[in-house]
Amino acid sequence: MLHQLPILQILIPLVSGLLTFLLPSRLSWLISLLSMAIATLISFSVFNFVLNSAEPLYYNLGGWASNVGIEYKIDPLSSFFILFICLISIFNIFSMKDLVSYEIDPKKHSLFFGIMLIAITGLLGVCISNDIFNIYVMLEINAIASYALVASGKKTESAKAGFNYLIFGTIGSTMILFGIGFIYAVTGSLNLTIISNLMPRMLDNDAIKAGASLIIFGILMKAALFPFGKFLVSIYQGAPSFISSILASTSNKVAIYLLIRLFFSVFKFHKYSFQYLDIALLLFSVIAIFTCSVKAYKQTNIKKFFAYSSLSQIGFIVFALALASETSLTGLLIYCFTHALEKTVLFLASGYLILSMNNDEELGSFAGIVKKYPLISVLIVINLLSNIGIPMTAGFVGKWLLLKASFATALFFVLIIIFAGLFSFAYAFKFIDLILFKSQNDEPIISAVNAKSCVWGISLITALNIYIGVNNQYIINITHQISQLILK
Amino acid sequence: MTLLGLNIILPIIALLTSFISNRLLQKFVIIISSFALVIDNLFILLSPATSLELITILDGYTIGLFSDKLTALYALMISTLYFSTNLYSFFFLQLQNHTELHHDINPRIHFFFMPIAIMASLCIAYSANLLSLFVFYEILTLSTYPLVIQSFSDHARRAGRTYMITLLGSSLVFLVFALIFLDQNYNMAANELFKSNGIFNTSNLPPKDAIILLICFVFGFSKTAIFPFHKWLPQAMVAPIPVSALLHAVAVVKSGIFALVKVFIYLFGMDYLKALHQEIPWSLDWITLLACFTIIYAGIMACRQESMKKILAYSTISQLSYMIVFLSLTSGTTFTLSFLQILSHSIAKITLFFSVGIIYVATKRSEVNEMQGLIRIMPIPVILFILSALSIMGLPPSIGWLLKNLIFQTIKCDNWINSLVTTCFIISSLMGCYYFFRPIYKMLSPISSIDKPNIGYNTCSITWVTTLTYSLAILLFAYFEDIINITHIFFKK
Repeated sequence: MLHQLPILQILIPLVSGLLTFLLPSRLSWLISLLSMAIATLISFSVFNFVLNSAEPLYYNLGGWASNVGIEYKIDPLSSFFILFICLISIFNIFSMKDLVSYEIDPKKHSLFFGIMLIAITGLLGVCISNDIFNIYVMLEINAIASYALVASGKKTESAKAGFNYLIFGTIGSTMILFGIGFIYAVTGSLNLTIISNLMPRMLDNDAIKAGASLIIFGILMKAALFPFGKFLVSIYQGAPSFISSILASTSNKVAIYLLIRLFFSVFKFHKYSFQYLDIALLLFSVIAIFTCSVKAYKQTNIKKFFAYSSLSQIGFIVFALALASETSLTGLLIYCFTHALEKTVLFLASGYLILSMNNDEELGSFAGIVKKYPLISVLIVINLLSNIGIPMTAGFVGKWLLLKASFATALFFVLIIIFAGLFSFAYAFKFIDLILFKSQNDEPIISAVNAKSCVWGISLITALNIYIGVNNQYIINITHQISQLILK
Repeated sequence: MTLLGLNIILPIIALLTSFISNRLLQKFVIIISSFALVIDNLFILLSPATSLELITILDGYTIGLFSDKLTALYALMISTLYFSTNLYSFFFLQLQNHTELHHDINPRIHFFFMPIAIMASLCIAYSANLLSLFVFYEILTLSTYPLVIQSFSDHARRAGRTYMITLLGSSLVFLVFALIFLDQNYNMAANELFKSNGIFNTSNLPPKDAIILLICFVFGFSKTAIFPFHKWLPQAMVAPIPVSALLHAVAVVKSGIFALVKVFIYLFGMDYLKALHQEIPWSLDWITLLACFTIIYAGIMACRQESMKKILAYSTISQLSYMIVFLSLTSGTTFTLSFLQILSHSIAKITLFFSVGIIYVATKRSEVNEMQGLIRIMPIPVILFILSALSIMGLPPSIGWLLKNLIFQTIKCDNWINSLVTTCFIISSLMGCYYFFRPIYKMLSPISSIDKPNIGYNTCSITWVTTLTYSLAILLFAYFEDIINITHIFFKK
C-alpha cells in the first residue's frame, strides 16, 4: 500500500471526478472537497518522505519499465508543487461553494465539480510525470477540462472566453507537441531522465534547439507571461470569478514548474550554455512587469484589473527564474505560493462583490465599498499589500529574496525590481484608494448575497498569508533545500 | 519593556474607539489614552535604557524598539503635543458642527488614523534598527494619507496624490536600495541594532559606500522636505487644521528629521561622520549646501504666499533645513542644536497653527489680507500667534531667541562653509521677520466698524488649549539649560 502512495495522489481526484458524474448533484461539492482533502494528506506525507530521503521516488505505471512505459518521479520539487496545488485547490473548492450555486445551474453541479477535479488531476499529473509525452497528455487533460470550466458561466462572455481559450490553448499545446516530436526524433526517448543524460552531447544539435524553443514558447503561453499570455486577460475576465481564481493560482504555476523542470533538470541550462535564453527571459519578464502594471492601472474593469496584476506578478516569477541562483529560486518557489494565495482571495472576493453588485464589473461602482462590506474590503487591501510586498505579509518574503538575488547578480537589476515594486504599488494603491476613500454619487443597487463559505475561505487564506508573513522560517528552509537540489 | 510596548498599545486602544457609537465614551477613552501616553513617555525618560523585540519578519530580521534619553525626550514631546491636539480637535469639531468650513474634520477617519500616525512616529523615535525604522516610516506615510484627503474634495485628492508619490516613491526607491545595499555588502547591517556611538567605524565602511548611503538617506527620508522633495508639504495643507498642526508641523516632518538623526548618530556614528567629513569634505558639504538652498528658497516662497497656512508650510520647510544643516556640520554641539531646534520649532509651529485655526473657525478668515484688526476681536489667539512667531524669527522673549544666540555662538565662521551657513541663517531670519510681519501688521492695524468680523461662537475652550500648549514653550524656556545639559551629556559620551 505504502509504495502506491505516489500514484494515489492523482488517482483519487481522477476517480472521484468520475464518481461525481454518477452521484447526485448535492453531494458533488462534498465529494470534491473530501477527495482533495485526502489527496492533500497523501501528498503531504509523500512530500515529507521525499524531502528527507536522499533519492527521488520512482513509480512505474502499470509495472512497465521506464524506457518503455510511463515513469512517475517524485522529487522534492514536484512534490512541493503537488502539495501546493492540492492546498490551493482545497481552499478554492471550499470557498467557491456558494458562488457556484449562484452562477451554475444546480443540476449541473455534478458535471462542474467533476470537470474541475479532472482539471486538477491534469495539473497534478504534469508535476508527477517523468515522461515528456505523458506531461503533454496531462497538460491537455487539464486544458480541455479548463475550456469547459471557463465556458460554464452564465454570461455570454463566458462562452466566448471558453472558445478563445480553446483556440489559444491549442496553439500552445501544438507548439509543445511539435517540440516533443523534435526531441523524440533526436533522442529516441520520451523519458526525461534519459533525455537529460543524453543532453550534454546533443546541445549543438539544431533539432534539439528548435524543439526546446518550441516547448518553451508553448509553456510561456500557458504560464501567462505577458506578450505570450496576453490572451489570458480576456479569459480571466470572461470566466466565472472562481474559475479565474483557480486558473490564476494553479495552472500558470504548473507551467512555471515545467519551466524549472526543463531548464534545470533536463536541458541543464545553468550548467551548459544559456544561449541567450536567460537574457531573452529577463527582457520579456521586465516588459511583462512594467507593461502589465501600467495596463492594470488603466483598467476600468475589476477582473481585468486583477488579471493584469496577475500577469505582472508572473513577470516577477520569470525574472527570478532567469536569475537562476539559489536565492532567486528560493524566492521563486515562495513567490509562486504566496501569489497563488493572493490571487485566490482577490478573484474570489471580486466575484463575491460583482455578484452583490448585480454583475456590475465596472471599477467605478466599487467606490467606497468598505461601508457596505468592511471585512471583504479589508481582506482585499491586505492581499493587495501582500501583492506589493509590504513587510509582515507573505508577499514580502519572496520580494526580499528576489531583491537579494538580483543584488548578487547586478546592481541594475535591483533598480528594476525597486521600480517594478513602485509600479505595482501605483496600481494597487489606486484600487485601495477607490474602495476605502471614495464615495459614489448615486447609491449602487446591492442585492444580498449569501456566500458564507466564500467569506470564511478568503479570511482563512488571508490569515495564512499573514502567518507566513511573520513566521516563515519553515517554508524558507524547505524551499531553500529544494532550490539547492534543483541547481545540483 | 512594558513601558515601550504601551507606545503601541495605547494608540491602538484609541483607534478602536472609532468603532463605538457613544461619542462621549470615545472622547473620554481617547483623552485618557493620550494622557497615559504622555505619562508613559515621561516614565521612559526617567527610567534606564530598555529594549523590546516585537516581531521577526524573516530569519534574523527583527522589528524592535529601544529607548534612551534622547529618543525618550523626543517621544515625550510628540506625545504631549498629541494630547493637546486631541483636546484641540474635540473643541474644533464642536465649533465645526456649527459652521460651514472648507477644511473640515471627518471624525471617523480622523480618530482612526491619527493614533496610527502617532504610534508610527513614536516607533520611529524608538526604533531599534534600520529595518524597524523603515517599516514604521512607511506605516506613517500610509496612515497619514487618509488624514490629508479626509475632506474628499478634488483639491485634497490632488494633494494626496502628490503626497503619496513624493513620500512613498522616494522612500521606496532610496531606502529599499540602502537596505539591500547594507544587507548584502555589510551582512545584516540593516538588522544590526543601533548603537549610541554608531555601528560603523573607518575600518569597516569605505568612504565611497558611505557617500552612496548618505545620498540614499538624505533623499529617502523625504519627510524632511529637502529641496527637490518639498512640494508635498504646502499641498498637504488642505488637511484640517489639527492634522496640519500635529502632523505637518510636528509628527510627520520631525519624524523625517529624527529618522535622519537616528541614521547619523546611531548607524554611522558621530565619530565616523566627523572622520569622513575631514577626509572628504564634499561628502557632507553637499548636504549643507542643499539644505542652505532649501532655507533660502522656502523663505522666498513664504514671502510670496497669501494664505496663512501656506506661509506656515514654507516656513516649516525652511526651519526643517536648519536641522539638516546642523546635522551635516557633524560635531557634537551642532547635533545638540539640531535637537533643540526640533523641540523649540515644534512647539512654536503647533501654536501658530492652533491660533490660525481658532481665527479660521471663528471668522472663516485664512488669507493674510483678511487679518485686518483681529487684535480687537480675538486678542488671545493673536498674542499667541505673535509670541510663537517671535520664537521662529528668533527674537526675544522666546525660546527661539535663546536658540539663535546659541547657534551664532556655536558656529564659528572659520571656514567658507560655516560662513555661508551663518549668512544663510541671517538672511533667513530677516525673511522670517518679513513674512511674519505682514500678517502681524495686519492683525495689529485698526479697522473701521464696517468690516468688523462677527464671531458667533465661543472660542474660549479652544483658546485655552492653545495657551496651555504654548506654556510648554515657557517650560522649555525655563529649563533650557537643563535640556542642553541632557543632550550635551548624551552627545559627549
